[in-house]
Amino acid sequence: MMNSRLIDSLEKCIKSMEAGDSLEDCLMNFPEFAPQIRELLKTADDVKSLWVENIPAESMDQNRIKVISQAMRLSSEKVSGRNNATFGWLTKPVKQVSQSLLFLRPVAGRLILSIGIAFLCILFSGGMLITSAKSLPGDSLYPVKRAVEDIRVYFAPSGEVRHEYEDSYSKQRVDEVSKLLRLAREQQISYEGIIVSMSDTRWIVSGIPVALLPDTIIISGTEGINALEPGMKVEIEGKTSMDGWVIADEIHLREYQYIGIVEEISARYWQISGTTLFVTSKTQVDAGLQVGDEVTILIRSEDKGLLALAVLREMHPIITSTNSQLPSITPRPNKYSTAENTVEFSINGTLDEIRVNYWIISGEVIFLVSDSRIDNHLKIGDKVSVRYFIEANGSFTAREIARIENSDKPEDNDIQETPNATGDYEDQDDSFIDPTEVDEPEDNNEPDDPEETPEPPKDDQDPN
Amino acid sequence: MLYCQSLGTYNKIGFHALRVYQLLMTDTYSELDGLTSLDPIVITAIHDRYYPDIYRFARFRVGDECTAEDIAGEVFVRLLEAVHNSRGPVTNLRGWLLRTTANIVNDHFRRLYNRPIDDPSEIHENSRDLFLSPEDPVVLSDQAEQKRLIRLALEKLTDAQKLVITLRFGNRFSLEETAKLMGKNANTIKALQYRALVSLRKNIGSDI
Repeated sequence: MMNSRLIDSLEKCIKSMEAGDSLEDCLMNFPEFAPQIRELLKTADDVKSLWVENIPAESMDQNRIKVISQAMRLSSEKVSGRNNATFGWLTKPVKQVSQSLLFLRPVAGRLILSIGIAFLCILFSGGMLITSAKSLPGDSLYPVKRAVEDIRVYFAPSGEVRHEYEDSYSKQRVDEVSKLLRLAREQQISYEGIIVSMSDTRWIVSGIPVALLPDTIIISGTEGINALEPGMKVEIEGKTSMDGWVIADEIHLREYQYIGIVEEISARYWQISGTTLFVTSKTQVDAGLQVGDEVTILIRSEDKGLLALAVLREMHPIITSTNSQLPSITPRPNKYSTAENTVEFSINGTLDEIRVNYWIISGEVIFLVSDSRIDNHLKIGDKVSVRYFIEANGSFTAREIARIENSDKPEDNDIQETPNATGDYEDQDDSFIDPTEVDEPEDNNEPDDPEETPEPPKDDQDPN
Repeated sequence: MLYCQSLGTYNKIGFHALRVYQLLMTDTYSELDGLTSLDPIVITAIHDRYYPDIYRFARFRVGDECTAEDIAGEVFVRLLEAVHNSRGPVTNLRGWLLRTTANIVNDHFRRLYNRPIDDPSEIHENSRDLFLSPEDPVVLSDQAEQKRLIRLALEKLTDAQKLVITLRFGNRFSLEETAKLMGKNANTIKALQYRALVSLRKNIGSDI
């Protein structure tokens, strides 16, 4: 049986010791419990030795950044969900109709849907069309945009105009992916582009950095990935990530060429060196080709099979879209930057924003990598000096960010660019990403194995 | 000194700082309102206000600095996810955060004990101190061992007893604050504290 007076006395002693009284002074007030309380207070003293006074400011700062990033990401998800709810009245019936059209041939179903949407658009004036033209994958109006494009392609007055439309829309897909990456939005995407460069896991396709994972599927005929090389047109299916990469799920080789022997010729398909190719009225075929001739074939890989764009007697030069000018690389944060960049610049400015993988200093975006050295406890508004180098993709990566101790100097607001030893200034004006377009920083917070952690307490209930 | 170019930025920052200050001065209900809307300013204020409590709680229990930092980070991740899923705290934010911290600490020890190779009693004290401190490494090592044994004894208590001891001695909350955070009356906390100290005395004695 517990003695309530003993319990009260213990608490009073703990309180008076916290107030600065000595153990013996406390015990004098409760002589009848002195032996028990003495032992318990010593134990309490032992336990108090585990207390830590100092909070590591650096880890607190880092955690604050992570938490705010996470909050902003969740907040944007919330807004996106709200937008979906706003247009739910429209998207839901459209989805139902499109599902009911599934039994039709995909193209026919899509066309009927497109015509229906076009009719609605005419009814509701051109406002929605204009609005949808700016939409991105994942937006409520994006299906409208794609449907309108389909209609324009279908009703194109000539084949030439149709090709122009298709090329233009293909470029739009690339632009959309670029915008998603700049906005750091995670979204399932698909686009066609030209391979600019290839390494084992990092490709540049039409200026967009693409990351290949071990489970990325590459569909490129019998030769697999070896068949792919820079200059080829591929379709990338994957997901945009917050750190500026497209994570590829599938890569389809779209257009390529090979040399073979004609084995069989019919009205609908040709067999060339064991490969069956579909031909249409648009396929360019050299006159007089016969079985046994050696030919160069330009192939487009379609979902229904391989379509021959051209079958040409061997030795003909082929001019294809795969020879088009390589696109420029869009400036992106380069998390894989190395110390190879030896040309160094510096600026002095005011720290405007702190994001996870980049900071904005006097309006300039400076990316951070693991090697970047940063003064402790920097905060927004501090005057800082930045030493940085320019990545191959045009972005700026910090080597060192240091506080300027005497920040009252009037030149602090003027960005001072210091060239390297050779006096070179790189052309950097166009290479910055517009900071207003980069709203959602990376989220690095991945909880540990959720299966091993219980649910947080319901609310204010005792978890025990 | 202000210059035209940065005047807007400065005012913006000043305004934010004012809002953070105002928020810190207001009650927990304002925090909860702002938390629900995931307002970055409110989140910043909440983080800065409660991070020390959470870190101290975790560090008191696990000892290791890095683990305590990880746990503190995880608590805020769970808070945001709970708020996002409309399962966040309604009235007592600090209580919610500390109970979540306690749950994550318990998970940590559960994982530690389930690890097949390591000795379950091996609760590491922050070994960095041994190398960075100017004090005698032997003394520090003894202190670390003593702390390890206290923590081992602490883990043998019931969950409620552990919570009381941690809040009272790890976070230095008063009896009344501890009672409020645990949703119990002060007498219950006093009794829990007494029983916990008695058990600790026995456990520490047996371990030493």
